[in-house]
Amino acid sequence: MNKLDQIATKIIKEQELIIGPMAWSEAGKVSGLHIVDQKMGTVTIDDADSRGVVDRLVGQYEQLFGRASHEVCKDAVRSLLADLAPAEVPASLR
Amino acid sequence: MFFSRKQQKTGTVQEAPASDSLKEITQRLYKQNTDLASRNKTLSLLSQLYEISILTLKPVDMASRICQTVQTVLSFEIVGIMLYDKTVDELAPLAFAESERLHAAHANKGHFFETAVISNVSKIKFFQKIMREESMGYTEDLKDIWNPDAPADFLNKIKTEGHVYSSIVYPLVSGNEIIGVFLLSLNRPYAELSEFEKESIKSFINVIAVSLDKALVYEQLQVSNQKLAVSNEGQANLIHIMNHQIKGRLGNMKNIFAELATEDYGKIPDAAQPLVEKGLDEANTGISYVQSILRGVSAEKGVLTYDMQPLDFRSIVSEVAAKEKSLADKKGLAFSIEIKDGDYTIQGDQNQLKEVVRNLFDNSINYTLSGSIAIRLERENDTVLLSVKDTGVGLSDEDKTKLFKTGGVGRNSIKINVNSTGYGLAFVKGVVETHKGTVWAESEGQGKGSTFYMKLPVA
Repeated sequence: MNKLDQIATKIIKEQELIIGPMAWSEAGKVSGLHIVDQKMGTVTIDDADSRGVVDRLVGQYEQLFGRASHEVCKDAVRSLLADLAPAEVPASLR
Repeated sequence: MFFSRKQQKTGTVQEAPASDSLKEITQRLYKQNTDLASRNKTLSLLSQLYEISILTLKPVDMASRICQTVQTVLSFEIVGIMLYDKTVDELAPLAFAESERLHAAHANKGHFFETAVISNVSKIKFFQKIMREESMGYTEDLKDIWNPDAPADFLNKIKTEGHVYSSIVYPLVSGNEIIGVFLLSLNRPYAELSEFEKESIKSFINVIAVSLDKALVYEQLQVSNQKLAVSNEGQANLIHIMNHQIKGRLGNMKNIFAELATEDYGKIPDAAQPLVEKGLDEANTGISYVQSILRGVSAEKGVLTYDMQPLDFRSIVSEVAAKEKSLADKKGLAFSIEIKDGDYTIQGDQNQLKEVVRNLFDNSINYTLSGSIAIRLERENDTVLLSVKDTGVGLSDEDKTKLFKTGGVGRNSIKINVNSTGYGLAFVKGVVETHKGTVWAESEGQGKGSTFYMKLPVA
């Protein structure tokens, strides 16, 4: 699993703690994001537009739950972002 | 958007579409759920830490599991527990857990954190406030903590490649003592931690301190138990030697003097006669002394044998008192005995109880330099109560705590009674308790006399 896959997974899992299984159904609506195993909590995202997929995932939750959900996404992945160069960080998580 | 009832009635404000209201409610619920999720995560982490503290006994194991759990849940770069040794002013690592990237960053440097000792803690500026005010310390410079023990290139590597941005150090306080510190290194400033992370840290510091203290006490207890086991083994060996060697040799000596006294081997010169008598007397004293110790140890261990029969306790007290009176007379002590009317039939071992009563009387006579010994026997409900009141040296508070234990010789008692074994009253207690009775002593203090009580149930 690459770093952005991990970031997407972490975001969904964090949202799942707050809104339950709905976090997975909303994630499933994001284009370029594929749920590999919901039980195991693994997803993959298309390499071609991986940062865009993460941005759309964050946006999917924000559209429903507002700014608070955006902050939840950022808090959830802070420790993972350290491994990415600034240019590699999805715009929604900067 | 919500409207007041008044506004709705007057219709001065136009209602927003239902979908906007629903969205606002959804977002409000989301915020509430976020708080709940944060609390749940904190409680879940605390629950894991409690479980570790309950299921783990050894300090190193407990600290390792705590660090590993906190590192995994909060994804910090370094989580460590160090123990503080006040005597040498040193922090020594107990356990450390670190992120994979940090481990990779210093893999070629070995286990630095597991072996790094911080010396002269009270002289390091960063730690001064932590140790003095028992408050959190925060730094974004690793040198504040690890300098001068860590090489600069190593610190630089874990900062850049391990992404260590800041470190927090909490004192672990138990009672009024700092027993160690809890160290957290993060890949971002403390201010950027989420509410959950901040709340968690605040919550688990005390849990860790208490758990660690418990584990350290357990470890000390284990060490004490091991020492006690060695000491017990030593005592057992000593008792074995006393029983088989010293008592045996004294017995042989007694027999030799007794044989000489019979003149079967010829008449002893008159000048040597007192020596033979003295030798016999000394051998008897020695045997009695050793037997007293062996009886005390056996009674305390509960390995004495008993022949329990109905008996009249009054006759035991009278018989022993009659013999002991001569000892009191020799010392010029007034010796009185008062036996109240009543039935003193108890279930007990005649020989052991005689020895118990003799020990009590002996004890009072030995520790009374002048004055009197007053013995009293009475019925008290379903018990018989024997008291021995003397005007002797009395008991200090310290003496009272060890009086009935093996080797429990009072602070000044050996000066007064050079033959004190310290095992006589342990024997008394062991035998009395086997008879389901109790024995205790009262005294207003040193030089104020003592009263020994012994209570046994009637048959």
